[in-house]
Amino acid sequence: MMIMLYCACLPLACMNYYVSSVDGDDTADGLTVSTSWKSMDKLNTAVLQPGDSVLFARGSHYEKTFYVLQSGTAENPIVISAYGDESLPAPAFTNKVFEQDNFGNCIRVKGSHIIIENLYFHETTIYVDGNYVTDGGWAVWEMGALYLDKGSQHCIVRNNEFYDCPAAIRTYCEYSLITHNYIHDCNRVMKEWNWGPLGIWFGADNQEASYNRIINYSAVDERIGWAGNSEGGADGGAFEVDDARYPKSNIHIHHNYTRDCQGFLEVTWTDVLQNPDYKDFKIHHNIADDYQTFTAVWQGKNFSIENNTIVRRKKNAVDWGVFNITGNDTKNYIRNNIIVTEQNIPIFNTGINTTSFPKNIIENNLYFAASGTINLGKEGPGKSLVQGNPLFVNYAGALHPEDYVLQQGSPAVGKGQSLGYLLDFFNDPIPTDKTPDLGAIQRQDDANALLGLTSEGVKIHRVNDTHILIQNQGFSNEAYIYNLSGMLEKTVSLQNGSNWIQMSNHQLHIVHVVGTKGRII
Amino acid sequence: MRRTTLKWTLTLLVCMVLPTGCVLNSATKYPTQHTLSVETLQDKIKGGWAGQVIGVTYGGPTEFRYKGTMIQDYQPIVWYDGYIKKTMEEDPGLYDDLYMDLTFVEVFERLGYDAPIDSFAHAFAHAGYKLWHANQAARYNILQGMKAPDTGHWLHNPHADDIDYQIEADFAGLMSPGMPNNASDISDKIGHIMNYGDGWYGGVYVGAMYALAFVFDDINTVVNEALKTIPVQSDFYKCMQDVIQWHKQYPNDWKQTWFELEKKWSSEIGCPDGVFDSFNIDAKINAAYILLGLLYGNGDYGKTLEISTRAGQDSDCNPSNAGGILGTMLGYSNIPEYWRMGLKEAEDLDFKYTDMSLNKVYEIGLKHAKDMIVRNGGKVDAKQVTIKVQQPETVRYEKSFENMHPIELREIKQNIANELVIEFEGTGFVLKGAARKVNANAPEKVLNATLYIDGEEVEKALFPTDFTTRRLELFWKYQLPQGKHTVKIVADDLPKGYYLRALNCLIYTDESH
Repeated sequence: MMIMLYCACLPLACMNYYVSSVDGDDTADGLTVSTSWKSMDKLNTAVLQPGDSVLFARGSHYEKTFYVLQSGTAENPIVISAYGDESLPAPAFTNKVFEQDNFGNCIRVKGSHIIIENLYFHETTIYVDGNYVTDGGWAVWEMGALYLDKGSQHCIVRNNEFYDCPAAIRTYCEYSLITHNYIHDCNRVMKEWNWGPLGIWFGADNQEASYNRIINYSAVDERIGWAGNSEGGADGGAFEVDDARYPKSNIHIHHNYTRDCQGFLEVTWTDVLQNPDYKDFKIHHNIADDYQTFTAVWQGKNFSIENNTIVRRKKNAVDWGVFNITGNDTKNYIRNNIIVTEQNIPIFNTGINTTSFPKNIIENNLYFAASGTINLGKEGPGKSLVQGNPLFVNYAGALHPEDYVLQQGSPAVGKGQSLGYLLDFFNDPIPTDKTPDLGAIQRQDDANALLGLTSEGVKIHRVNDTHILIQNQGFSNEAYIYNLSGMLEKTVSLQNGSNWIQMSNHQLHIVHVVGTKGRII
Repeated sequence: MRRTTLKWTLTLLVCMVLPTGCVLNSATKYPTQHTLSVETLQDKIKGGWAGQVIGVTYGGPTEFRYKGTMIQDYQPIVWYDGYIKKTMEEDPGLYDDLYMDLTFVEVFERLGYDAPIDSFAHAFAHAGYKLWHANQAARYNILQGMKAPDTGHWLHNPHADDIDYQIEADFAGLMSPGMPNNASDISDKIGHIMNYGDGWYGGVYVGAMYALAFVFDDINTVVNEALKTIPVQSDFYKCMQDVIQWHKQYPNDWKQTWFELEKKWSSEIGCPDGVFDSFNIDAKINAAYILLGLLYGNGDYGKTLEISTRAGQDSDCNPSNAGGILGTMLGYSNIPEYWRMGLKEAEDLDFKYTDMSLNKVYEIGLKHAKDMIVRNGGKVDAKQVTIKVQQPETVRYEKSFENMHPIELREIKQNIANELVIEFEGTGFVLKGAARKVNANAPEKVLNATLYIDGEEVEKALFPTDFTTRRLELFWKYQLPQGKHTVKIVADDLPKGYYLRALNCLIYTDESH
């Protein structure tokens, strides 16, 4: 995992630039809350130095592009973040304009060692036809509400929200970390009519995306088409890798949750060039309940697709099965996954109308058809498989990662290979002294097991058959406990510290905690 | 959907102790329990047994007459009033589907539900009826002292993948209403007496379909859900899954699916009678024909029987299974009168070699089903039963004839007076043949012969001339090291007027050669 730390620089050496569209003033110096700047035009005149911060006021709103042209350093990154009253919404960015050098970007980063955090991006423009000057790539590759340009390195994008941005994050930034972002609800095409909306979009080597939630990134329209319009009707997805001009290795996608996207990951094989050298991707401990496919790997070898919890129950105009992996002898590893299908969706598709033989190394996966039958497709099921209901705590109405916690008695428990992973989806430990569970979530059997929820300020534990423990550190003052029928069984006033809750019946319960601050994980 | 507040919500499912069945995880809605009147239960059990008789009678004249071809539409298949009784009286061997089932039912009735495997093995091995293929190979093994389940293992039974337990597994499901795992447990015990691997899965699958036909009223659901009992890596699963998939692809053309089946699944490896031949008694392809009938028949009784029959090969057993499963789902009273025509007058006839008639098995079958419901946590009273419904669990994976590839069927056609020597290159062989009498009226005897491979004595075997106790193949041996081998058969002091006839030798290599 790539970790970047930024340290406080010397007080006199670095600046905090404050920007507020609400009460800023471009004639002020921008260096204090009370002397903040107002506009993006003014901010774009600033020459940032390592250790500087650009802070946008909560409750403020911007519609032009912020160009980050300077770089920080490993010790003193440039930080772009939020300030102000935490009860107000995060600073909001949109861009409705698509033109040369401003491709609907809200923030366009050229520099390195930049941290972008705690911002809100929304409703950016789709592609507009025109003549654009690029570096030889497609103009669509310049899109991204947050755009990390070629040449940038070591940037961190964290804790941001993206709503209805057809291209949320586009990154050519090597050694980037895209983490803990919430990207959701875009059903518009990015480009009429051959690009659907994309959550996180990689164009370079050595990148990592973790702990993101990407929900409902899918466009369905009969006008959508590609491959000479022989296919189409829907497009988009949570993650995509393309731009064959650049070989890519060491793309690391882990601990993400996606739902209702038009596929979890697509790795393309042709654009301005064909058959790029893509290799050594690690895709693990993700939970996905999407349309179209989990991984469409048209090009790539030595991928590790491991310990994911994959549900493929949703179908629309385009469906490529669970794993659509082409190429010959690419020998990607597909291990320790839980794969649940419905509607006879094929699992190992090796390409559409192709005769490729990837010879994937398929081991220790669990297969279950919640309806219909298990349709293996052209490969698999591989060695040491498990067949049976994984017993998620709430499969039918699953809307959250917690719904995929394994019940006692799940056949996925203890059936995995030890692959060296240490933390499961919820950052609970994966035992090294026994075989791990299949899927993204390691079932915690000890009495104080944390069952899938932690955040700054609150932890929820199953203590024993009749007690729940909520450890509250100013997060909330109330919890609601429901039965599985949705009936409220108990309302509990929470105190700071440990709250022990006794339940009268030995049943499955939903614990619902409403907080006033924090971040969904 | 502009975010207006930083308030957020966390939701967590906390699992306390979870009572079985309190959460429905499967998208196919399984009731945790299913209540039906005793009258309905009886009707379904009757439908299951009567359906088998109707199906096997209907397909009887076509059995193995159409191999690798479907029965053309212009070919009439007769059905008339009185036909069932006439066939039961004049062609009792046709009902091997039934009398094997009934033998096992009788053992349960006599010795209880925990009767040991040896009791079932002994019962059919010593029965007077004729048997073929995996059943007969197992019978011979039992009579020679081998213990079940070794009797059904493919190393001891070249017919392990054949249809046998599939055609006689109906009882396992009929005594397990709504309890496919109970049916699988029964099949584990009894099905392994004569089958292994795909041959065993055929019976497991049939049993599960019967069990679920008590609960679901849609044949697609029955077919799909029962398949959950079968390991996904097995060829049996893959073949059934293909049929289901092709049915979706060609929903109005069962013949197209039949052609797809022939292309992909008609290659026989195990049964020595089917390798290098159009004859195919493998459980997979014949189970696929059951599914053809069930899926394309879509609940129509006549259409179901006709398609399962017209698919060919074992075209009486397949409609028998299909007719029984659908008969269970519909219930006896809902089988169209046309197909029940003449049934009443046959219902008191004992199946030959048994003391069981349809009417008796209706009665005993109800008793067994009620007892099994209670044993598995359900309830029974005078008017209704409440079944604790089981979601299908996958049985263990096993595979016969792994890494075996037939490369030659060498014609021998020799009587073995003293010895026979065969040389081959490969990993295994089956020498087909039989013990024979010069004079058909001569008394039955048991002949002796010894098998040597590469100079080493491997096996001494007995060869009854009696049909019911016969050894199906002269000798076989698998899993030899790849290479050249010399097989020598030495006949030991053959009595005058008796001989061993070697017909041909099937030779295998491993897949890499």
